[in-house]
Amino acid sequence: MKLKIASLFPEHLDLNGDQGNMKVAVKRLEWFGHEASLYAVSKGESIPPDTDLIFLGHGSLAAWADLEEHLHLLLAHTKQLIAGGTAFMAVASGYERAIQFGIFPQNLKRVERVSKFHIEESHGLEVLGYLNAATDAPVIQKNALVLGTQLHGPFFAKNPEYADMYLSKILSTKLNLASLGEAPTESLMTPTTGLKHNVDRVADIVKAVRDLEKDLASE
Amino acid sequence: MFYVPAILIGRMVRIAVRLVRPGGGSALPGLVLSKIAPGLLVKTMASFPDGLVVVTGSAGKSTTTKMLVAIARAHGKNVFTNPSTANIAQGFYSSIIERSNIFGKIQGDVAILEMDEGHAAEITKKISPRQVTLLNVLEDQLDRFVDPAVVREKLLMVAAKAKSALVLNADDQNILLIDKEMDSKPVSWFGVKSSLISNTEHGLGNAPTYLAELSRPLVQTEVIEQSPKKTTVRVLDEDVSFALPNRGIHFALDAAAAIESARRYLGENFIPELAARTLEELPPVFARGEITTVNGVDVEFILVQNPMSFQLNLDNLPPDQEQVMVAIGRDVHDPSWLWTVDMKNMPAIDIVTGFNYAEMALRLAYDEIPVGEVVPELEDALAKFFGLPAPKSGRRTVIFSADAMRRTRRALGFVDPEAVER
Repeated sequence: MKLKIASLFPEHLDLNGDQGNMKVAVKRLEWFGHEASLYAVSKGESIPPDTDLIFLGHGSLAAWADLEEHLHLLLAHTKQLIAGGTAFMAVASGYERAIQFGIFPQNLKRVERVSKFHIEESHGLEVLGYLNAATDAPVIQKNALVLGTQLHGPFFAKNPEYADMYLSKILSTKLNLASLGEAPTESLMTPTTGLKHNVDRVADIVKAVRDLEKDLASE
Repeated sequence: MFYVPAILIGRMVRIAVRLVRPGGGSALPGLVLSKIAPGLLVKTMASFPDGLVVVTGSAGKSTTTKMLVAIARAHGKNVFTNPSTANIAQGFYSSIIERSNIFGKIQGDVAILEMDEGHAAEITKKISPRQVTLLNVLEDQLDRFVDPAVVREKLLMVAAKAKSALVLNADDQNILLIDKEMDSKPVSWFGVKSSLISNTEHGLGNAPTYLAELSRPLVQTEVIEQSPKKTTVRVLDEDVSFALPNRGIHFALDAAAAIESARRYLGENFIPELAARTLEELPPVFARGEITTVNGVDVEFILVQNPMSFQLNLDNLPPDQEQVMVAIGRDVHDPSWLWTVDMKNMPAIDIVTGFNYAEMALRLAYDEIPVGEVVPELEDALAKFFGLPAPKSGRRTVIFSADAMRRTRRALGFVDPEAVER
């Protein structure tokens, strides 16, 4: 199956390597025998309506200031597409902007900044990554196919099980095979023969990454 | 007399640390001295007849300071400077323990110091420098600074304290913004000819401001030609040439920064030809273009401290790499930035190691870059890497972060990094 992924303003919103999430999504989909096309939506462009997943990364204050007027238009369109079943993922300051735009249910409040490794449970999986935030936004939340996290940088790379669970839900929704909230459809995320070594290589390394970050999170 | 007991205590702590950890450095002696004699730093720095010259910014501080110090010395100045590993407040106190007499006085005409961009604003609140050189603002150390705008604000505070000269990078819009914020400062500029920058794939790597471009000021010292064998810099109306050991344009920019800084400090006594000759003869800063021999085989050590230096070094890496080791140490607090580097020039890696070996290996795995072996312990990795059969090309390459560099130096029996002289 083929997924179309739109990254909003990726040139602006990669402050901590956040676009790595979509690089990982594309790779994992390929390793599992699917196709993925990742395209940038830049200033003045619109999101193609057949997009399956929209991604909003993390940027500097200067980047957000530059995007402001374009962001309003694109996030309004994003809300419509989400209502029609398109998946959406946002990280760090992109996630905070999405909350401000009402894509998530909370209101944001400023709190003292935290800069550390962090572990959290979400949908039965333990997720971890680097947290550098000064708002009370939940560290991670997933409502149907709308996913937001304060864990910036390559969240999917370090949490491949979570990435696979999320991507399989997008795939199964597209196939109309399963309703939301069901267990992951494993058959949709089975490594393709010949590419399984990539999945295994990453799994071994992720174990070491997670051991390290758990130690650092407890310091 | 007031500081004599404090300096003696600092020296005793230093002796104790060296007994416990031979060959290793420590921030402890400087930390102790800064607690028991906080006023000593101001007193010592104020004692230099020519005052204090500060070099700061996100990247290039060590190289620029080393070059500037060498040029000033070649012009007959007696210079006090700090090791590159001691560029925060405690480090300066450590340098005082190392270099001062028991009254806290250091011999010399001038102090030329590399300062961490986060600490420089705090330190210069107490000591007004004679001259400040601002190199650049990068998207770097975001776990500390959160946003490049924070670094810009800190550098603005340092620049505002410069008493008689401010030397600025004309090719970083962040630095032009800083200049715009200040009134009537004695500014002069260094830079790189625009065609040289546009020839590079990733430019100079400065943090984008996303604002309407401020026009480039008239530049007093500019790199006008650069090749692996020859760098030519125009200083006012005079062209001087020299060879630099590093391939990257950023190294040439550091040279321009050092020359302009020296020109401002030395005034009428500055001789461009002498500056060029000094740079030509300068031994490379460890791991910035240095090639040395280990187990009878040449090794190029490449230090990557931030996204820009990783990117620029990768962009300039010759394609015929045969044996490569990558070591990412504990100094990389949040390894997320490894994902901002375009790895398409990264060759196949023989060994990945260092405290953050798994984070680096994960990045390489998603780019499907072949890795021979992942070796968690750096010392084991060094033994394996330098025990490999000699490469046909005659050269190995080690790419490492600052912490991995220090541990590598120790393991290979190179000079204690705390004792590096400039």
